[in-house]
Amino acid sequence: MAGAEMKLRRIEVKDFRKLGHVVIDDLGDGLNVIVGDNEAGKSTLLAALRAALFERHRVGGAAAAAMQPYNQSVRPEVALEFERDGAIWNLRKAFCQRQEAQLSGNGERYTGDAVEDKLAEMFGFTPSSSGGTKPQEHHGVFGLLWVEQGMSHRQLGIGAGRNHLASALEREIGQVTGGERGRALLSAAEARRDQFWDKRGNPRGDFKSLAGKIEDDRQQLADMNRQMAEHDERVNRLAGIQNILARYQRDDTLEVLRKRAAAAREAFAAVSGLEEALRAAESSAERAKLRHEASVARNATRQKLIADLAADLGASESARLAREEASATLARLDAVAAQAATRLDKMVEAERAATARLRGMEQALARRQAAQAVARLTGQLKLAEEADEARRKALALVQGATLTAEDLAALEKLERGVEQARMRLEAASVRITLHPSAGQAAQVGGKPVGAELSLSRDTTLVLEGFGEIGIHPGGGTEELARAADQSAQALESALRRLGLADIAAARAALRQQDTARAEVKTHGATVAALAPNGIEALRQELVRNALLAEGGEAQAVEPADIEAARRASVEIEAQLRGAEVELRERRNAVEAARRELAVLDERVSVAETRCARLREELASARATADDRLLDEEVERERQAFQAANEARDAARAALAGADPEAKQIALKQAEQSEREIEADIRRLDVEKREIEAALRALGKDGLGEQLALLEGQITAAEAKLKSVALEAEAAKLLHTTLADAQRETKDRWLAPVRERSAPYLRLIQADSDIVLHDETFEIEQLVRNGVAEPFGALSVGAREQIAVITRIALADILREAGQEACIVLDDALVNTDEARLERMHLVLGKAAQNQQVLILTCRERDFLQLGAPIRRM
Amino acid sequence: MAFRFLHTADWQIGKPFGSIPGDAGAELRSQRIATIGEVARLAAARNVDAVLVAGDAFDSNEVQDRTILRTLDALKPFSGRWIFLPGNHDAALAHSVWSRLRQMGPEENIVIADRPQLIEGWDGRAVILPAPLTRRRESLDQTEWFDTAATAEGAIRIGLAHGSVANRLPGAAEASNEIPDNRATTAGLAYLALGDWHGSLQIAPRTWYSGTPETDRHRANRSGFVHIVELDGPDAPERVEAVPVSHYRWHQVEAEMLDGTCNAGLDALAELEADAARRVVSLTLKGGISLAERYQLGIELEKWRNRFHHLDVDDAGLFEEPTDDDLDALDSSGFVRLAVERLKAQAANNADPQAAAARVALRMMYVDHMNGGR
Repeated sequence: MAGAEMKLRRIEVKDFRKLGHVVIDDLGDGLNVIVGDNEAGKSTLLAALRAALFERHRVGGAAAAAMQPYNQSVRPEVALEFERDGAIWNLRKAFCQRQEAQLSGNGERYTGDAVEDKLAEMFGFTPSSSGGTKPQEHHGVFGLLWVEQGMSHRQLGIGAGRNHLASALEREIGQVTGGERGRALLSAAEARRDQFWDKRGNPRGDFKSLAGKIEDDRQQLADMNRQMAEHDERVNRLAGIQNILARYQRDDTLEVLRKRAAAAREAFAAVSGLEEALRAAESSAERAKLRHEASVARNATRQKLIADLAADLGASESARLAREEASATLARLDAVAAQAATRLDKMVEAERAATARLRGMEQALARRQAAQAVARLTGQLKLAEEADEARRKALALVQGATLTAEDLAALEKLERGVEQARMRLEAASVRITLHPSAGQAAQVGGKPVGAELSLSRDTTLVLEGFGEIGIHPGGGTEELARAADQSAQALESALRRLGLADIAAARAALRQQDTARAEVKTHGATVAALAPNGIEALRQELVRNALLAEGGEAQAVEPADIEAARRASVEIEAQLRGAEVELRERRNAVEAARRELAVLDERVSVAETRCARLREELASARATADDRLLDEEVERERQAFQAANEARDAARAALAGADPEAKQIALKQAEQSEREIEADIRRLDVEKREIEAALRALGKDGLGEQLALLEGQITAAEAKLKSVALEAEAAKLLHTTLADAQRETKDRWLAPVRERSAPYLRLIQADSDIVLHDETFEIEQLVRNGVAEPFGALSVGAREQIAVITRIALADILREAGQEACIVLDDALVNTDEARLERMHLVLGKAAQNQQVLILTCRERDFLQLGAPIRRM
Repeated sequence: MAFRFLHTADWQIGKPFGSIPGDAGAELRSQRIATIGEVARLAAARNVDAVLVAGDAFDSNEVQDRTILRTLDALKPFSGRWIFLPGNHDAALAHSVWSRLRQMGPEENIVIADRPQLIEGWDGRAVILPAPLTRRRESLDQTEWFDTAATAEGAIRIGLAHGSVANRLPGAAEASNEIPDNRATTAGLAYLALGDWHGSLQIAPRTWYSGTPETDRHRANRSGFVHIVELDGPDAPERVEAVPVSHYRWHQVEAEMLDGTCNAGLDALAELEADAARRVVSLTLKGGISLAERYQLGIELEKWRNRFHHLDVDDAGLFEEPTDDDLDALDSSGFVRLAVERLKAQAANNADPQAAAARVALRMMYVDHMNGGR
């Protein structure tokens, strides 16, 4: 395939669908904007372009019909001028009627079908063998780069352009993918891996169950080995039993033991007779002992009875003697007590006389003291009564007084008011000093006046020799004079009310009252001193003493005499008390003697009764057996006892000599051995039978065979597992290796696309990446900021932007591989918002630096800023 | 005065062949009894005086009752005396396959030689001196009593024992159950019939192993025979005829592929083509081959697997060495090529823990490729 660049220069269309005649020429190298609304047939222009390049001029049927204007039959014509490798080519095709094709350029010229062949060769597409063409099947790279209106947001639809693209990439990186076969191998490897491993990488299926089975088998083997060990143990035990039984049989053990036991039994029977004899001797000795003890006891009882009677007779005699003695003592004590009573009576008499004498002397002394008291108390009473009289008078005076210290204070206050009023008036009055000439006088109101005058009211002064002078004091003297009069009247009326002449009288009356109060106090003290308990009490004391003094004749008695008489009386009383005590003691002694006598009486009586009873008992006992008979019996039993003891000792010695313990032990041992061995044989027999039965049961199952079989199976399974594990490992490795290789290859494969698209992408979206399918080159994902989004999930606007950028990038790759083709975009960015559109203009501008880009649009305004030549249809 | 008998041993009936799965293993198990039937028929045909079984008639004391009964049935064609010596596999323990067999009430002609006692009969022509094992491993020589055992004048003394012969069978010789190599001489035996070694072999003067009548392992030891022995008198030389009776033939084949093809391995198998269904083959493959050859080998081995009674392949020593043709067949370019290169590098690097897995992975990829990727 020839690599070449291609640029459209001129397009002329005639009678193609709705286009009548359109010429677009002077198309530049970079961006070209062709404006025409949809009605104007903007998209038809692209269809015409395609028809010229890719449809056979002889095409008929639907494809041809589609070129005709609606309901017309004309001759659609398309003429193109394009530049390829610097040479200008002209292509002209007419369809439907008088079909025609011409191609000339670079000194070559083709007509008819040769035109189509040449075009296919030049642009590397596959002409349709018949009928119309489809962009994705027949248009080569133009199918990729010429985008119809309304298709731009769809997948690229690479179609036949793929091969061009693949070879372009191949040229660049020198490698192709594994292709269909590679993918088949990968999926086979995946299936293999899944056969061994589950999603989490754990063994599954046969691989897993094989390991499980081995584990189970090992478990079972362990069980069987254990059973086998038990089995062997039993066999060993059985061998042991058989050995023992054989030995018993060989040695005739049981019979030997039986004989030995019989001999032991005989020896033991002989010893048993001696034992019986000993037991009889012991028993009779015991009986003799009891009989001897009984006879001794009987004799002792008799002796005691005799002794008791003798003792009681003695006791009875001594009790009688004691009683007689006690009786004599009582009589003596009675006499002594009578003497003491007589002595006491005398002492009572003497005491009475002494007391009477002392009382007489004391009364005489009391009367004399009373007479002296009467004299003293009489004086004292007179003085007290006088003082009391004086006190009572002063008290009456105090109680009669009406003037109080407050009254006096009120009077003094009024007096000071009178004085003040007078002094104010005087100060306000007119002072007139008169200096009459010799002997001439002055009068007021007819009364003469002194040299000094003080006038407080209108006054007419009559001066001798002169006449009258009217004096009128000014400024309120009138008022002051009235106040002075009122004060004087108030004092006057207060004095009158108190019945006093003046204030001095009031002060005197008050002083008199104070004096009377002092007297009341003084006389009261005097009375209290003379009669501390009151005058009446003093008077009664006087009366009492007077009576006392008058009671009897006065007797001259000295206090010393009285003291002597009192001492004598006390002494006699003391003697009296002594006599009383002595009498009481004598009588107590008599009483005690009397009680003792009663006791002794009782004792004598008891002793006599006892003696009588014992005497009777003894007599009765002796009547049965007399004392000598008892003595004989004791001696007889003692001898029998001694004989029995000797017989017993002899039996005991005989038994000890026969060594019964040894005989008994020997017998016991012999019998026990016989029993033990018998039991052992029986036990062993039973056990042997049991083991044999158990082993027979086990044998049926062929444990040994099973065990060996299982061991072999485990060995085989382990080998199998080892090989399966290796296969599993290999399957995993194969898949991993293939998948890794595919991913790496794919990464490398698509790297150029990523690199080419990156500069454009940066203009609209920072940090993003387009991921294409490695086979179809369709857009799979857009990775933005590391987040992958499927193409189909993007917004329509984003899709058309990404698709346009991808086409531009692929165009770059193709161009660099010598497969240049212009890009035609028919309203490819209608879903793009204004801000993005501006960015996309930058993209288009950048693409146009290396590439011819034709933009068909009905929105002229959108492309005004693009700075590209604008042509209108 | 001549005495003719059949000497056999190591039947190991009940041996399970657990490592050979499925029907193949089961058939090996049942064949061991079937072969005993053949032995019985042979004994009857040759009209022998007795059959001496020198131990290990059973693989274990704990075989199934059914196994014992079927064995007894197999003995029926020969009505002469069968003399069974307990060996190490079926030692005469307190409870053993022999005690069980006795309780099953065997025919009169079945003799269990579980005591070191003379077995007489045959009109005094011969006497059998058995050395039964009453434990799996005896540390003392059980044949010692042969030397002092008195027998009637003119009777042929035939020893019957199980174990290894001292100083004679390296590798097989164990410390236990050892038999002196001059016992036949010291005991004046005309023939010492031994069991334990599975091949037919004269190990010392007048001292023979008959081997197992039905081969049971891959070992080139002349197994699969019984001995028909004729003794003309107590001192006459023994005449021994080894008669093949084994149904299955066991082969151990090793092939090294040096030319990059699998021909060496396939050729080795082709040599065993005759009577293939009776062959139990263990094939060990070594060397390096291309993926294409490896693929082909797999297909061929599968065919052989179906033809042989059993084929066991050990290909641990076989390395895939992908050739350029292999790789081109897989894919000349693209990521598959990259993956192949990587796996190849891994497979070639023995230090890589996944080297083996990488080799298998390559083979798998090739298979997938040949299968059209499935």
